[in-house]
Amino acid sequence: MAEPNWLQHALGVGVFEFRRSVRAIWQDKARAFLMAAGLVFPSLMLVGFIYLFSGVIRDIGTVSLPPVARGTVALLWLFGVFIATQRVVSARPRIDAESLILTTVSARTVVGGLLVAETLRVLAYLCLPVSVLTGGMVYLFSSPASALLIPLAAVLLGLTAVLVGMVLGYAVALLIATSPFVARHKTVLGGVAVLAAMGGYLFVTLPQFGGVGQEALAVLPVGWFVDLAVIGSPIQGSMTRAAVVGVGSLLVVVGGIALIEREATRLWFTDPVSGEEGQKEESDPAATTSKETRTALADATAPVRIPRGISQPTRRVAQWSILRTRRDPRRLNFLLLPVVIVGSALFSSGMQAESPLAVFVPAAAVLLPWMAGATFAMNPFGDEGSVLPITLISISGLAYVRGVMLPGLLLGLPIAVLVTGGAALVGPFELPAAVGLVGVALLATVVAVSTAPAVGIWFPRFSAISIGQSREVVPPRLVTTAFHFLGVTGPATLLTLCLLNPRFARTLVAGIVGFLPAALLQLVAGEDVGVLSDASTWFYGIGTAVQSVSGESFQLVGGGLLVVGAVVITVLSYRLAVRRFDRYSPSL
Amino acid sequence: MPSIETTALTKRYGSTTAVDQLDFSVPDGTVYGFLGPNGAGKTTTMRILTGLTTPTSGSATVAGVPVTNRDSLRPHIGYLPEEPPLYEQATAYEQLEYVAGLRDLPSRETQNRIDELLDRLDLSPDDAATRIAEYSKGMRQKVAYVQAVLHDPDVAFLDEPTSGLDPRAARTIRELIGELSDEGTTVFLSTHILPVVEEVADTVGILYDGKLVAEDTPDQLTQRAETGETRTLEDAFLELTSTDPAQDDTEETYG
Ligand SMILES: Nc1ncnc2c1ncn2[C@@H]1O[C@H](COP(=O)(O)OP(=O)(O)OP(=O)(O)O)[C@@H](O)[C@H]1O
Ligand SMILES: [Mg+2]
Repeated sequence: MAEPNWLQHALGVGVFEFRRSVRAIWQDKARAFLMAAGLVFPSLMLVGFIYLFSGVIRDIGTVSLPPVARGTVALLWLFGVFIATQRVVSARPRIDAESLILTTVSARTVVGGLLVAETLRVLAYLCLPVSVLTGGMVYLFSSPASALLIPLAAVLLGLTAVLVGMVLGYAVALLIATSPFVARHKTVLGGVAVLAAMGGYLFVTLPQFGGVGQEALAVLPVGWFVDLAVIGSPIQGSMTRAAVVGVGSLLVVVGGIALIEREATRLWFTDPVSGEEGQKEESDPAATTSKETRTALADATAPVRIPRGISQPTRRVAQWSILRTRRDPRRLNFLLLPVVIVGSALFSSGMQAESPLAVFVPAAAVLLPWMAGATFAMNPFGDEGSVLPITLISISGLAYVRGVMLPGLLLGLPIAVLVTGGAALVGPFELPAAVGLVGVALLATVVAVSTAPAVGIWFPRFSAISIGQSREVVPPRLVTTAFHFLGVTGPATLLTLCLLNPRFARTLVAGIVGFLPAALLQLVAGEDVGVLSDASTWFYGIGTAVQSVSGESFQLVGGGLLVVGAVVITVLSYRLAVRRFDRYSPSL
Repeated sequence: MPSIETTALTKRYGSTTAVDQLDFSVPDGTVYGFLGPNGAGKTTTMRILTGLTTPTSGSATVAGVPVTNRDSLRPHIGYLPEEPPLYEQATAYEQLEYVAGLRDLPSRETQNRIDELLDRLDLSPDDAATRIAEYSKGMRQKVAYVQAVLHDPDVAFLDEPTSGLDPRAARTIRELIGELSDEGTTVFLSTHILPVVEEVADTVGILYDGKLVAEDTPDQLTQRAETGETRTLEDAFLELTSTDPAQDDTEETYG
């Protein structure tokens, strides 16, 4: 049971939560800028598209809605559900200021508020493209109904996706909180779930490899929002389908809130089981009785062993970062997006290549090193949280930076090298190329592992929540992750290309540093003769010069430069990180 | 009618028993001082009584409502937890208005009450209009206190309300607690600062290892102390909560 005016309170909670998240984003200017750019750019493209093709579109006349449109909308909806589920499970299964809110309003109010806030966030993303689309439809077809129905369809789509995502998310969170088995194996299970989702996505989007194609999703009612949106325009949808999603959405909202309320109430008022506890009971007696010196940290990070020669402070930092990653794998969610995007692109191109390994092995040589770097040390200061001041005064920068680099080297390096080498030997590579790829993996891992703490320490991200009620999970800044990802994989890819296909690498470089800027400048300059067109000619010259280098020389010189650059960057990053640590003054 | 009443209240976390067969009752409008060493189970008891955690066994009522009936319980209680539950991105004004709104308090009166309480706690309007992210520990504690008593609850649960406060603010809190109980609010108070309890509590309960080992007025408890030249509540506390009372060192003197 909830208080009589829970709906009004839920709206209040939702708006407050939404404003809080806007403020939090606003504090991270770079993130805010990236998000804004991500919103504005596609909308501008849409405006351009509508403007350019307005004549053509007007002339089409009445058409019936193609199934692929429904399928695409259904896919979008499913993607929204995936994101919403993942957000509940990873970031916010419990609420901020829990003891306050739960003694102030009913669980239903809170649930309603979270739903409102999350829907507002989704709509904030959708609002610009949807307005452009709405404006475009009204302008092109002079259909006033669109002005109401497109936004309505967008709201219903966002709301239902968020709702279903929350139902699933709280169910998962509840499982983790109540089942010791799930709690203990949540990392593995989470990985399986993500892989399954990725597989499902590929199955739908890759009809050429036995997939079903997006149209197949048209049978799902969640794609029928588009039928509602096109009413009143010359595009002929199905009224029945529109009615189904309209009524269905209402049912989902009512049923969904009731369901989430029950799940969330159980979750918030249940003491979570701990996956660690079970393990402890199995292994503890032997561990505590048989050893004289206590080795709690070392036991907790087993089977990873830090070599004996490493100094004690460095060893402790390394063990602690391994432990942290292991105990709270949710912090690694930020790795997910690049992995899913790059992974699915790779998969589809790998399946199209003659031998999948010809794609996978170079990809492994480039991506595994990046992961080795990003997994442990992308946001070391933020991970320290409230302990940071103590860390700063208790240990030298040298020991600390070595410590956060160590797990990447100890765990990541062997994996990257063994996987790349093993697969290269099985795959279609000559021995020299295989050795070269292993070399790339080795070098790239060293670069990734040393640059991650450097960018992470220079641009830390701290929890926005006060100490003590912090959610503990502080993912690195988006910008840092993107920067590190491109900085590592870009040059590593180029080096791989130099090794395997120097002519292609040469053309690529000539294009990027010569022909592309030349073409762009020429485009801007137009017919005018002046500085711009001179610059364009100059860039063109560079492109031609690069292109005229022979493949072998390019391989030697380009590869050599990249290797030297990698070494320089590694040393520099390491020293910069150490220096930053030694001079850092925490703000609180 | 007692405002808080517990019967064999028990809470277990795995193999630890945080609260063990608690039986006590707090009359309406009185101040109950809840003492006990670290880890005795004070916070756990409060979390049960505020409905945030369900007891493993036993039962309790607050303001006549069973604590498992959260929806009826909520309007009667105010809770100041150990960690001030505040939103970093909000200002004190925003936070307090938000919470007042959630409780449906009349806005004008509430505003006056907020201003009055903040003023008495020496939190200036300028500070109150600043983001909580920039607050000191004591400032946070003050806002959290105001938040807990803003709606004039029937029962206020205060977990270490003076923690982090300067002497002046701590005194103000003691006065405010006195006023609360004069106006009929029952105050359930946990603290480690014994003079606070001595001053404001009508009854003191001492919790040790999840069990209630003594319950009496502060004066009576002080009388019970066997050690010390001048007996204090501190002596009583130390005796009652030592691992082995029989072995207690009577030779030991303080200061
Ligand atoms: N969520 C939890 N999971 C497991 N054990 C818990 C949990 N919360 C409390 N405990 C245990 O219950 C016991 C009582 O804890 P509680 O926080 O109630 O003590 P306290 O009297 O408030 O102590 P303090 O004076 O330090 O605040 C402790 O042994 C603690 O370890
Ligand atoms: Mg406590």
